[in-house]
Amino acid sequence: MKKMLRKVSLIIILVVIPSMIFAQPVIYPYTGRVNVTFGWDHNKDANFDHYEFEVKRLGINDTVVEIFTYGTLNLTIVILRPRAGTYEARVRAINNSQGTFIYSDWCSSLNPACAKLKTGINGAWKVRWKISAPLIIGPID
Amino acid sequence: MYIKPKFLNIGASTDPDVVGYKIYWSIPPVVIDFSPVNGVNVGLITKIALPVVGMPTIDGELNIGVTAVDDVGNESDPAQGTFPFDFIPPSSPTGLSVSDV
Repeated sequence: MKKMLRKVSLIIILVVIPSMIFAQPVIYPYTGRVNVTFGWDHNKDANFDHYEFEVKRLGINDTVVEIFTYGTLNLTIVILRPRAGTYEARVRAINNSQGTFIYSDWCSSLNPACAKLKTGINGAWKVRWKISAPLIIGPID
Repeated sequence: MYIKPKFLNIGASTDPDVVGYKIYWSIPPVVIDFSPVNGVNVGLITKIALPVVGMPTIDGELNIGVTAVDDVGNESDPAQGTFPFDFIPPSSPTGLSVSDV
């Protein structure tokens, strides 16, 4: 009985936990050249300078094809689609210590420990900006 | 043999990054396979002369799908419709002859 329990536990560990760790990021789709609002939580230090926000367009196997970088003082930023594609988003805080910039770690949308889904629970996500579709009016002679 | 084209009118995508359109098709009841390799690029035109290269010249219905593409190959969701086409010309007359009046 104990042996069987151990086997079952091992199977659960081998099957369930990897699937939790390697769950695919949720993709939030938007159509057209539209604005999307990104937000984050952060307690600013006294020498806080600004946030650096990036959207990284991803290619095959999530290789980074291009990066668009923005700066803001706020906890939200509105980004107009740079180009259609699937993007990772990330943000970091930057302090200014007597003229020297000091950077926090990045909080990436692909890191479920840091990112939140629209439901409010932690989870990895990407944004997909899609091109607007045409209309078919129909054939004429 | 001359096949009189039938023109497909499409409403242009409102997207400023669009550089062209791709046409897909299937003969019902088969549904269209929108794998990118199956589409034919027709350029940035909204009045498309059919049949395009590879399209079957049939007398019957065709499922037609259209997508918009940008300069790096991103494709929109497709617009689809089913339309009747007659691309088959009539058979040629035969037995042409001349006789005395």
